[in-house]
Amino acid sequence: MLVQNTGLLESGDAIRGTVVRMKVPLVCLVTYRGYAGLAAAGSGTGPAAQERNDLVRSDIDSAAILTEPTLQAWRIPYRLLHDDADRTLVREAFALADRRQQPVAVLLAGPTTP
Amino acid sequence: MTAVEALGPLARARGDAVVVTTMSAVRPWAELSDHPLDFASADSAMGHAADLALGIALARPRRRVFCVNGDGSMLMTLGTLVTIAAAGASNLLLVVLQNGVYEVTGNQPVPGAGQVDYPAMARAAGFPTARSFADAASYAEALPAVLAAPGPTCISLSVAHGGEQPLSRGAGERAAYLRPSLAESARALRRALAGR
Repeated sequence: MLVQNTGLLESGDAIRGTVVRMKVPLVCLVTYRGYAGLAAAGSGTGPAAQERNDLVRSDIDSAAILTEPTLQAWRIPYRLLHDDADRTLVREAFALADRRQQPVAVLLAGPTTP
Repeated sequence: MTAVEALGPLARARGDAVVVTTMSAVRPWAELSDHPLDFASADSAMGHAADLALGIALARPRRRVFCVNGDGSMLMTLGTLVTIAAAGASNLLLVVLQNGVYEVTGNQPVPGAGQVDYPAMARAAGFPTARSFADAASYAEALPAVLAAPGPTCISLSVAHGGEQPLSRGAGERAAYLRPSLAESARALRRALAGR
């Protein structure tokens, strides 16, 4: 599945109810919108960003803040792919999804070659 | 029309079609059918039975797929009408049981109950065949011709609501296809489709 992180958030109940419950070995390649701007804005994806309520800051993409915590809450394993050198993560994600019969996400956090 | 009057003609016409049911249609369908190609979209994604049926229809284009949906479920995923038509799933029959309520959660009214014209929406989305029926006899008589018309096909049936309880899965369920887990049911359906 190729999806932007906003679409991933939108598909939560379908992933919970169908993909996980059916034990579908689905690999989600997720484009990580907003990731690049988090560090520059002094924010992140951890609890501190939640405590500061960075979700309401107009200079930060809140989709980026919530992507990883949401995957953690859904108990979906994920890896960050920063550039082409990390492309072996995709093959590893397929192997993990097959082995565990569950969804696995690869977050495309940096520039990659199509 | 009652649920049995709505589902009976479908059960008689299904042949070797896959039948995906959801919500208040799940248990009544099991009273009429016990077939390896029956699949309950239960303990699954709310409102997505038609999406699941579309996936099966696209994966098995030579096999007919019936989806018995409800008006509440259809309303949650209206965009699926466009997806079905755009995908050209000519082997898919989408049945919308319009009972006007979210029956399994306690008969709360569905927005627009009695006013929304689902077949008109389906036609606007690109379905070549879309019909409404309020009378059981005329529906039963027309169904063979509707099934012979070009698909994807949508039919809306005005049915009286009952008192179906929330869906669950497990050994205590009277509907046989609700006894296995969702994962086991999906595996069984794949086996049946593969002829194993």
